[in-house]
Amino acid sequence: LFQIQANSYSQSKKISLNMPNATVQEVIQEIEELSDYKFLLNRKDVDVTRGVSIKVNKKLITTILDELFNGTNIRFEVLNKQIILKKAKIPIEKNIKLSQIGQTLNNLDQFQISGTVTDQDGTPLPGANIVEKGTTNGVTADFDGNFTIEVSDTNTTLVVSYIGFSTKEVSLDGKTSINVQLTESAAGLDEVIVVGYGVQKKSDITGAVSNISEEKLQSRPTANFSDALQGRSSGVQIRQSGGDLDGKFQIAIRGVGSVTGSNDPLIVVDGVPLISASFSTINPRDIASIDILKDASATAIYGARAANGVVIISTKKGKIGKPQLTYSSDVSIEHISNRYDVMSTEEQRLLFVEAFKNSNRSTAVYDDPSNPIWQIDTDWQDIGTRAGIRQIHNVNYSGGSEKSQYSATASYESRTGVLLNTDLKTYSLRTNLSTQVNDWLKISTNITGSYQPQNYSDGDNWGAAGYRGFAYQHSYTDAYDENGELAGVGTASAPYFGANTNPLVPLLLPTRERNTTRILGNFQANIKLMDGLFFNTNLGGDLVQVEGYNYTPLYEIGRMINTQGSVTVSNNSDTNWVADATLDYTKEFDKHNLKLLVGVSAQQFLLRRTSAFGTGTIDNALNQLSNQTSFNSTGSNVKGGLASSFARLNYGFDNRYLLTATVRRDGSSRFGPDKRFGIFPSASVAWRVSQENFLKNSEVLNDLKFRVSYGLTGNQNIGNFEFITRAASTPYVFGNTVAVGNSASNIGNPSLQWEANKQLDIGVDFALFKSRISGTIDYYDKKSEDLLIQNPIPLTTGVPNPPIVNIGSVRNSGVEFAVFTRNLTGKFKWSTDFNIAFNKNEVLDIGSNSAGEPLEIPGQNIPLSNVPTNLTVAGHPVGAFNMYVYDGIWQLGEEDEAAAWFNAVPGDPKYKDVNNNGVLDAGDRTFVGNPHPKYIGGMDNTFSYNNLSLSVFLNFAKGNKLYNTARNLFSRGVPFVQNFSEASDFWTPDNPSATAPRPSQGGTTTTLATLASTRFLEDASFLRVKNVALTYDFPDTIFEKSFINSAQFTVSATNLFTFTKYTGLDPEASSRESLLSAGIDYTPYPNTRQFNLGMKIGF
Amino acid sequence: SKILEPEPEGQVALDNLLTTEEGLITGVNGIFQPLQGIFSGTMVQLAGRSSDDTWTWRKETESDIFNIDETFGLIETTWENHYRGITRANTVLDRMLLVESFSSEEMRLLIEGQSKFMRAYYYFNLVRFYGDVPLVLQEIIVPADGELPRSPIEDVYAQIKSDLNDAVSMLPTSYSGGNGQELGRPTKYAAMALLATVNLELEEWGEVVANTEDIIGEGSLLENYADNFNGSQENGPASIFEVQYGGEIAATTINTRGTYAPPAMQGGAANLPTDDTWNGEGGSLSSGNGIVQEYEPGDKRKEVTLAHYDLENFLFPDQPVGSLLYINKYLNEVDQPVEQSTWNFPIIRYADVLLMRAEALNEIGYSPNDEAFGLLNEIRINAGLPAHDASTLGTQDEFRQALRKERRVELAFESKRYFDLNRWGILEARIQFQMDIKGELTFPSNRLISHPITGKSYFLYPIPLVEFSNNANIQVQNPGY
Repeated sequence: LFQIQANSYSQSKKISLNMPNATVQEVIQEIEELSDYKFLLNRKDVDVTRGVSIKVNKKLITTILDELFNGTNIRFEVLNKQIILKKAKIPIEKNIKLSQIGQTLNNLDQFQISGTVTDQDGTPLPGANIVEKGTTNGVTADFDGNFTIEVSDTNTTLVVSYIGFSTKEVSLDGKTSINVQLTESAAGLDEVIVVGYGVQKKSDITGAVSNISEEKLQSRPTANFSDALQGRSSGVQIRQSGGDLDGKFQIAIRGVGSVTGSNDPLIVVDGVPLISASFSTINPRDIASIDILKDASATAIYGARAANGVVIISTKKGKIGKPQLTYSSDVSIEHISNRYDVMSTEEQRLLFVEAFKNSNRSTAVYDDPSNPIWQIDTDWQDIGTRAGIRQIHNVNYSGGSEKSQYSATASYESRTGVLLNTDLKTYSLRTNLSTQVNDWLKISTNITGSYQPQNYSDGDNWGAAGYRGFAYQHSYTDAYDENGELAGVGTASAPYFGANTNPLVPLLLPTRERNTTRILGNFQANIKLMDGLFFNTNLGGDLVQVEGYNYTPLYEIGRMINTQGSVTVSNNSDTNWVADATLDYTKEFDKHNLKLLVGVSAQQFLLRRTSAFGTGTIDNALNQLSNQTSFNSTGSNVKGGLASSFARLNYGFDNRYLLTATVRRDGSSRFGPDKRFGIFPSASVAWRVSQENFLKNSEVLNDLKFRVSYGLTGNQNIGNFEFITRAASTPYVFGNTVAVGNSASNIGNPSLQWEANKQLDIGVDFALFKSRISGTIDYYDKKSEDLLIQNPIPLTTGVPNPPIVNIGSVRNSGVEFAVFTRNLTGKFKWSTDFNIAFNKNEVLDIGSNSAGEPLEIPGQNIPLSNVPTNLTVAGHPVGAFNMYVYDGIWQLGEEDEAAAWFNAVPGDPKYKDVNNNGVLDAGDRTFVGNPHPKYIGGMDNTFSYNNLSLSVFLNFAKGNKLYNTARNLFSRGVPFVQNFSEASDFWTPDNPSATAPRPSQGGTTTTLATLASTRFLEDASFLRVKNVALTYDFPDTIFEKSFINSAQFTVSATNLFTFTKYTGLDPEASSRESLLSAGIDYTPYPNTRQFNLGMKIGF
Repeated sequence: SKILEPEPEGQVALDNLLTTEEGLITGVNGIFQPLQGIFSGTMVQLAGRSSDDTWTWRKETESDIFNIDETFGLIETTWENHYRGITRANTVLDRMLLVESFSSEEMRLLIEGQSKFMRAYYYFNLVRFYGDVPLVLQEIIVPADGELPRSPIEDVYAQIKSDLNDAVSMLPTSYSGGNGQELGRPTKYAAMALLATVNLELEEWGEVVANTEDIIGEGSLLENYADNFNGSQENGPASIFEVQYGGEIAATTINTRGTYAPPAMQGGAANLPTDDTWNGEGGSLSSGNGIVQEYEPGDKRKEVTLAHYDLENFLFPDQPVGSLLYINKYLNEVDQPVEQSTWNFPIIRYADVLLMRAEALNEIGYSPNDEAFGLLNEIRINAGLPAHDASTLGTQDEFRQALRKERRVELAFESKRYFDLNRWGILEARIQFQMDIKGELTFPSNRLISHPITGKSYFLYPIPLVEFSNNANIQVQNPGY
């Protein structure tokens, strides 16, 4: 914002003069003739008739003036193109150059202006920026909106700005005290949006870009930035995948375009593109804004990585003004928001009896309800969990002068997880500095260091030991024995009651540590070459070090025996460095506004992985690698990189007609020599109808802009070296010694190239009724072509990995709508922020197989039934659900039909005979739903009255289904896992209207009950009260004469209610990153309801 | 630039690897590697559970009752694992032609001989499981190289014999140790024994006799039957060829505990010995032709092969303690980690060679108390059983039945029984007998063919369905699928 414009002309303009025997007057006239300089002087002070001789060749104006007035009492000031000549009060010594003195004396004639900045209602706007127009001179208003600024001229103009308000220019006209009232600008037209290698005013943007402001981001406590993003921006879907406290989230922007490649957007933090979308160490409190680039026009500047959209994170920077110290603290208590409804012990006993009877096996040991084992009823879900506590402490100090600004944050976060033996701590430090070194050089650095130690649990899987373990372990075993030690089932009673384990053993006994250290930062220099022309460099890096330490101890608990301990120590070291250089040229003439950017960029990724496993210890104190007797280790070292060049042109005419054209050429190590380079062009135009004369003064319409963009971006998210046939390690053993073995791991495809993404976007931005209503509507049509697909090959090729080929296309089209309304203004305020996005995803073509049939790519198999639930084929969404259709239960009287169909009997589950051939076979699997929502969105209502404000934030999704694998495993009516309560209502001849099939232990019934079918596919539409926050700002009058400046208290609740039909723990769960297996819930780390108390104190 | 062309460290392009003798040796090692997976999973089910020796209480489906279809996972992984080995052998055989110098001619022959031996072994399994199969004999450069039509059984066998004859002439009788010469690689005798097994399958009795001739006397039986399996005599005198397991990780060890051990010993007991005591109860084909009843009194092999561990009967609670027998001979209680055994698994034992030769001699002609009797009795006496003579086995058929029984007991649970029943043409009869006891099940006779060479009634598994999508040239499925 405070780009130095002053004196740039005088730093670059060079003048030659050859004037023997001239007067000062003549020299001044000649300079004005040769340049844009204008002289201001008082003829009483300056003797213009004095005779001089001057001969200079291409010298700066200061040098010329030095020579011209050397030895006189005249001093000068150069303010860009204006030269002021004044009489010095002190005589100047001859040997001192005037320009030096000119600078030191610069501030002698200063005037102090004071004032207040408020909104329309007179509420002070603390932190408002006041800048003397055309200079770097600026200050920030204090907490009461007051400011003082020193100016050299009482006729200058002050530019006053505040986020969310229209910028106002105030001419002083000789006044030394002013009050400025700013008008709220809902459309935020003056807001600056980070667009990649630069910034743009929102009003000038021609692409689809959405911005989430600091205010929104900081309105609730969030675990990480993707959590903060959720529901805030139209068309941005966040899915939780994986289950730890550091939360693995996946962000999808405008649907999913890639089938087998990654759909992660590119994430750029302060100019550093990250390698992956892993970002748990970015402190959400440090984020100043998130800008999401959605259409091709906006993203094309990132070329080959832009196909999935770009998320740009800017961290907090210092502002001009007096130092500010802020301390904030949040303390939350978390509870599991939902739990599985499992059978009681007695219900299980009845199930056992029925199941064994139905499988023609003896029920002798289950018949007696007085057996001691049936007297135990352990609630594992209760025993294994607890209330989690989260604490976050942040100290930030920031401030700055005109020349330098700084902001630094230290933060500490501690979470004890709701699952026992899980916790997370994050320590982070961030420093952002920027300095205007001199007239032509500005440098800045941003650097964050963080350390995040974590104790984690098992991930989400079919039989994982985490929360899922509490769902499937039988209630009829004790957690602790009479001595308070962990209990286990003895071998003697085990045979008849299943392979019981104590789920606390795998949760509590092993050590699972993961410590992440991350240094992310960059150094930027902006050099002014001439008026409007800047050279910028950016050198950045992101170093992520993840150390793992796992120890499985030895123990003997009942039949749970581990006779040797084992240790795994792993170390992942990811280094990512980037170097950019850009030239930035801005020119305004008449009504034309031109911006041109050209640049080059190089980025390299170095991924080093090592892992060592050792086992053999028989003493739990000897728990390090060196204590083990046998070892195994793995390691890899992968490098990759991009070398790119790019250009962007922004042209505007009269602020009415806007054009953006972008092109990027990327070279990537992911592709073979013939296909290494790709070119990604885009263009967009916009028409600001509201700037036309016929609308310019409209009271109703404050802003209206139509936008159209089209462009090509790429996706290169595949593994490295896919283009060559690589050797895989396939070791064999001779004697007992492992011998190195090698074989082909894939079939290389030298002609592999980018996935190409062609996107059309048509959008409207509007603001109505003094910006009481503002919003954006976008329609987009995005076609991903040349998809990176692993084309199946016959198994007779004997190679594990098929070649990746470019084939087929996927289309995402949809409408996004975002609106902000100020429903009530005045003392009682109410505003609403609402967004909704509809997306339709369709695979147009994914090629054909060797037999010429359209290709079908199945998702991951669901264990036990060993069939996939997702199938990706042309004409359906990516990863569309495809499975058997549950059709109730075979009833008495249908014996013959059931037997012919699959040897079934009454009570067995029945599946629709989709292909009408009378038997159950693979042809009965059919398309039954979409893992992707029809629409998603969010709504934030904020109410405020005086110092009190209440915000209620909802998010929602509709139309997607989720496969509940927990029910597939625990609602089958098959003993030896704890069954869910629903299986209690099982079919018997006396209970023909039961909802669950008859229980069984083995045999056809079990096979049928296990099948992956629509019985376990559920509607995952939801409406969630994501956050309710009540904030109180203490009136500043109470802080008078206190060292405290401001104080704010917030009480909030997160995930307060969720309205959904989904019966699993969380309708937003999604366990598999691959979209081919989208919408499968393997029970990630449980979602929590949080109650939070927060405070923020400014000093 | 360096940025765009980084070194693929640790991930060598295959082109850069198989250019030296050392590289080729690692390639040869890779050919053996699929064996570890095949014997950890495939064989237990497709060649074990599908016989009358084992049954499972867990599921009344799949291989035990022959309702396998073309989408059954193991059908696919078996096919896949075998072709992995074949492709690796083809790659070594093609690439070695481009290698100019070897440290010795012996080493060159060793590399070629092992590759051909293993290619023959993999094809021999394939042709026995699936019948006609695509005969891929070249390295795969593009996917189409693997899209071949099915070759007739006759052609596949011709290739197998050709490869094995080459292997016999190229491989040494023993190994000296050292890189590329480790004990456990196939020897000349292994190639002869495998060739004899092929001959036996094709009822080429004379060739069986000829090809086993040189092996007799080169090995010996172990006094303690358990030592064949417990890791103490790996690659020893009683072993002709075995799958090598070892190391510490699951990838190079075998999970026998999960397969055989009872739940009380942290196993799944997924495979139990057939036992006529259960009379069709408990799950799948648990009885009829029960192997438990096959052991003669005094047979020392029984307590090695089967054990009850003094455990309660977890399937039949009303039966006494110790009444349920488990397969014991591979249960490794010594090695760690718990579920992984480093014990090798036999593919061809010396005892098998003796029995093959005895069988062939008897099929050529019954001759009382000749060499065939001697071979059979060598096994029996070693097991603590009385010798047979013309008084106990008076006809060719009596000898045949005795030999078949001896094979079953001696080679119990070594993934031989299904292949034997099938080549003898009695698979359907044996399985249907078990099904009759279980009730209401029928052996899928429509899946039998008349073996093109022996004419025996012969069962085939289906070609995996996925191949029909990915290889347009496959075209024909086996009958009955």
